[in-house]
Amino acid sequence: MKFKNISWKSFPLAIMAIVIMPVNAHHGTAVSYEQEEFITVMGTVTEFRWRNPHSALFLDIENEDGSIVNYAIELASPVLMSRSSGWTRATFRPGDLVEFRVHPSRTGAPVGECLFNCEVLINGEPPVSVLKD
Amino acid sequence: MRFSILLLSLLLLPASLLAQPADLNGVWLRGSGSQGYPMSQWSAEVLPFSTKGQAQFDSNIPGKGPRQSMPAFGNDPLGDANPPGLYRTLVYGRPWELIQLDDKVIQIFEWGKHWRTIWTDGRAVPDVIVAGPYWYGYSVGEWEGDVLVVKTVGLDGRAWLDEWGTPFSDFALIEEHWRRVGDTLEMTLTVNDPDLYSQVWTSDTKIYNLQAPDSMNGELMEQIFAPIDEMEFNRTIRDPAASGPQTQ
Repeated sequence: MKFKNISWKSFPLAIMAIVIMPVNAHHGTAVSYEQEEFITVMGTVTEFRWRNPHSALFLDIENEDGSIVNYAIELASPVLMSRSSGWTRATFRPGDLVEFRVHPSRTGAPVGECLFNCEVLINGEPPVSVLKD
Repeated sequence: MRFSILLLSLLLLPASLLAQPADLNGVWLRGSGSQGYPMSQWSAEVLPFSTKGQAQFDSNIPGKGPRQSMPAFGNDPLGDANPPGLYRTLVYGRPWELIQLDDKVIQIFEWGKHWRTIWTDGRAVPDVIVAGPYWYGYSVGEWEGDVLVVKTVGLDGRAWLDEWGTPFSDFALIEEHWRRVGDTLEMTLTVNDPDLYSQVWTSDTKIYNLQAPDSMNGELMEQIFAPIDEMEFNRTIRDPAASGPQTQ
């Protein structure tokens, strides 16, 4: 599995060495991500958290050098995702091969975001929706 | 002559005696936005802060709006899973339900799974809220014609008035005017808070749309902010998102 457009990997080492210690965190997270940019990440599901007010998906992704990085994807709440997409807590399972289009972190961290209209394939297929037609 | 006396008597009647309560029951969802507003989701105008109010506003660092910064470096109370509070909830795009009874109106909020009671039994707005302040205040309502006028006191000033960090104090008296127009509710706020504002100000009109019972938002769900989830989310998503390209 590889990144497509692995933006965070292109940072120079000097910048990669900078570790900013956040003092706090809160809602309204869109500003942490490049909202005008998308990357598609591909990897193996390690965990799917179906929780309010934000769900999250974690993927193991293999870098070009063969190393593995765990990539986190911020998702919307179960309330919103079930209403808008028909997803459930069983939509992703550990071991699934996933291709997910996300807004990448502005800092280049291995974290992305998709809150609405997510383009995703699970084992090559679109997610199953439980919404009635 | 008799007609004139009758007309004069009607004109002198208190508005409450001419009340024609509208049917507010149902699930409602905010339909209007705040795009382009300069500082608050409640107003297209610059707010009349007092010196203290301006300092409070400047010290509130939101993750949304014109002053947004990365959530990891802000101080939004929600970041630690505190309640959104009443007015932030009313300006947020999540459904809530009104249940209208003879002596009160119950407002149930999906966002955070909170509620408030608007007392419409004729009681006065209390001078002191002994057990307060409350994140959702203490509200008394009165019908003026078909408009429900709600006065809320006893608010906890640690909450924000909106997602953009607009402040209010524990001493605020906030008045809401609710009016039903077809399948919409119109609402304005009037903020009387001399501790933080140099004058009383009124919001623009917010619109809420009635949600059909079988529609996507027609039934409230649970959306609780549990600290156990928020701390984990901060640790594994939001803080790393702001911290640079090191691996997790």
